[in-house]
Amino acid sequence: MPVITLQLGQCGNQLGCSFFSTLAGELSANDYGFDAVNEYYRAGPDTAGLYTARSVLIDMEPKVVAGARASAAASGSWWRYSSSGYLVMQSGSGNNWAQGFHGYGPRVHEAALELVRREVEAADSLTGFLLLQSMAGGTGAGLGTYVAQALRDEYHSAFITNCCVWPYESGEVIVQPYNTLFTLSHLSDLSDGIVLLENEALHLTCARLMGIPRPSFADMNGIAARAMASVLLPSRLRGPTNSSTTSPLADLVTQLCPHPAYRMLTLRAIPQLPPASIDFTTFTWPAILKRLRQMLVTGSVLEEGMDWSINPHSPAGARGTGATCGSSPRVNRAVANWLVLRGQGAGDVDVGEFADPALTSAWTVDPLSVSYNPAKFGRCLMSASLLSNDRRCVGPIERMQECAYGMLASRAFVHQYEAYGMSISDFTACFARIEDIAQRYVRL
Amino acid sequence: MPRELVTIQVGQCGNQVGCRFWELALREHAAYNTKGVYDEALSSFFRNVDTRVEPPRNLPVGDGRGPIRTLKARSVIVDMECGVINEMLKGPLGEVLDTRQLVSDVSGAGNNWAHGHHMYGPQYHDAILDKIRLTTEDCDSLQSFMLLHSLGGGTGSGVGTYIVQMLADEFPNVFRFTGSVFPSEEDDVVTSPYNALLALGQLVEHADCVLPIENQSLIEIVNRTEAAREKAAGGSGAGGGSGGGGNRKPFDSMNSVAASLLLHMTASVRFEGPLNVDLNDITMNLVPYPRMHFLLSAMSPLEPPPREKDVGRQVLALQPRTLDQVFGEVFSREHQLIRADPRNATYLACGLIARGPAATISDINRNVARLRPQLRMVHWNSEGFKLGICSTPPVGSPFGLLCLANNTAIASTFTTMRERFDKLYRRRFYTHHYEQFMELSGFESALEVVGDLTGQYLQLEGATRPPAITRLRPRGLSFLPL
Repeated sequence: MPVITLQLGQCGNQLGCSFFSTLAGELSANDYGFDAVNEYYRAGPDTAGLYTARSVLIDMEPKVVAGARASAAASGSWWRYSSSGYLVMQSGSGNNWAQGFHGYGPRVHEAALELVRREVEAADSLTGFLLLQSMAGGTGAGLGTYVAQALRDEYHSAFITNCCVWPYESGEVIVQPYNTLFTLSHLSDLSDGIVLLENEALHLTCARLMGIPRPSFADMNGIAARAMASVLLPSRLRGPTNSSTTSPLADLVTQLCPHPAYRMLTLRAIPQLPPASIDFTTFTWPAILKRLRQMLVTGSVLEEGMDWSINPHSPAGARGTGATCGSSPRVNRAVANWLVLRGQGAGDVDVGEFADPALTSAWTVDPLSVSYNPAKFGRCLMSASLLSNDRRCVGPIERMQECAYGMLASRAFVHQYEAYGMSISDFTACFARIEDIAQRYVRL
Repeated sequence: MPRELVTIQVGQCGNQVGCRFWELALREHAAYNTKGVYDEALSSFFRNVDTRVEPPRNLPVGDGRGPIRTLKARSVIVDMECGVINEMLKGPLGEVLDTRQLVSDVSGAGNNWAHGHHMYGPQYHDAILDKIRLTTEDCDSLQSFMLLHSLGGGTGSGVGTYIVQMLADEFPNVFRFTGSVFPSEEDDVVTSPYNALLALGQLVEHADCVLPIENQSLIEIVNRTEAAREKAAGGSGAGGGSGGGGNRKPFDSMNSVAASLLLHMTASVRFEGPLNVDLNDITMNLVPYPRMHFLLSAMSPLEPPPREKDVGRQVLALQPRTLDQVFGEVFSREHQLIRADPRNATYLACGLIARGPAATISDINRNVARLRPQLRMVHWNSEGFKLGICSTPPVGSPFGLLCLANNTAIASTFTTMRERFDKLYRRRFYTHHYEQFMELSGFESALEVVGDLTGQYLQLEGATRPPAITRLRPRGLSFLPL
């Protein structure tokens, strides 16, 4: 069932381009069936016999969208972006969340919804929307949130999932604390699931694991796109019925976000290997699953450098409240986990370790779902991905809050947001909401 | 559809810098636009005019593949005496500059801010506004104005700040950037302290973002570059002076440096890159409080782009070898375009725009992490930098870096200006020239405005330690103990 992707802002568009390329590559390499292709691409009359990505590209300045469309066209691949499915303005959002949300939002409302409507009509049924955006800027963050709100109003029953890029903590944008927290506080009400892709983590993955000493955004987008594709490509649920997932996105979100206060998802996809090493690596399921489990236990998103001494059954890991995350090595706990296994023997692997009740909260009805697909992913003989609704987000959120509180206390940059009608009470309401989110996860 | 910038050059200095700017802009676009098409990058600064028809017709960008006919700069030229302008129009830039966009008078403003601001300003209000309107009507979506002027004289300073005020009234939604040349201590105009402070008072109120440039800094930079070039030339055995240095007019190199600043700042608007920075990004991130919009600028490499005959060993010997070296330079005192040492003061915000295909986000982050411990940052922005990457390098170099910093060191510049002002004002020297056009209360109010701003900067100077902050309680869980 089709999913319509919206690529918002520079980051969203660059990531989206990478995502569709990766997806196209995997769909070509293995036969996943027509439904898999149909989910993200349609046979387009407007692209001369090639497939069209079911995607709407939105940005408030023209260069990036033009670049994305051109690179798709020039890649010689079997897919293109629609010739009319994009919306650009001229002046950019100035890294100002308020300008994106309050300034451009109402102005582009009609045009953006019209483009979405066209894609929805071109799909015979609709699962929902996948929004790709950054949280630090103005368009992806501000306008992206406005678009999510508009979609929620217009399409009540469709899923809205956001893949949000969390900025480097050393800063890419000075006002990123404000922009990030505004986005998060609004999306937590609007979205069905928010996958956080952290730039720091992607950077370290490239630098330490992929053998790329000076990663560029293109490299990092590639890693993120691969991780997303590894959970969004079709897979078959393991269990009594052995049914296939009708739409990975819908099933993932329904299963992993059963409670409205817990919507933050962490994506872990291993192995992370430089392409040249794949042919020389020995893959075994026990090794892969052990590493992935420890990544879950420690809350890490990197496949190496984990603290192997952390154990959910040790006294330190016992259920308890009190200390905030980051002050002591705590065991990561999730609301629910979804494990996707791909490759040789994926259907029969023992995943009992992941069913450990110490890994999830006590009140979850269905803490673990496992699905598999025997087709190889990314040339790796065996690979596994884990999408978790877990506590990992708390660390970055708390650090961003520190910065934001500091800035707000000095009223720095506030006049830029007030120019678009926001007031201090908006700031404080948003920060209070973020406190809610963080505290819920801490007490999980 | 392009995002246009309209340049307004006022006064002798403004026009000379402007002249250099157009030369360098043409050179930069010529280097990257090898097919001679009128693309979006070009349209931000130039119109494409079909002069075969009468009246000449503007050609739109269209799909960005139409040929260039005649390029006309999107600029408005204002001067109250016609010597400089006439020379500009007679030279090679005469084709590019449009006489429709020229406002001039004969006798000059006598190095008197009040003459420029209170007499010529209102007198030419309609003419100037007309020309500006004409220029903006040729734009599809105007992004900002860039005013080039000096503060020490009469026209650039007085008429220039009058224009800034006018733009604030007539085009409130368009950004107003100014490249303002501050007078140096050895300025030959005796009343420059008055002119500078009175102009500064206006810029605080009406400009969105001011890029101060000090003549003395430019002189030192150019001298250092020439010395290094001679050493390189002498060392490598190549004879014959330092590449035509004797042929250049004295201010040419200095103006090139100032003009390069504008090119780097707008690079990301014109060319593509993995992390674009618009002009409104700059104002958003680097202006934490409305009036504190003075940005120290530094760039590397600093050498003005070489003339064709200079290219060769001499120039290559001067380029910094690595991107890392370039980063170190932009934070050093020698590369700043004003005479202030930012390292001894507090950074409120810092923006870095890297140019070149080899620059990646990890290069920038690595260097920021390396240099960050040596910088004093204000407590509410202890880690934050605004980063930008543009894939197109500057002409003549594989990479380039621009640093725009909102730094409290500017307070020392303001204080020096006040002291020079006080030296004259204490005894009311020369004020009678100004009183022909304005009241002395104008002096007082300018002093007050600048004094307030200096105080604001100094207050933030020591603010590197955060005060205790009360966190908000989680809204939904208010019954829980904190």
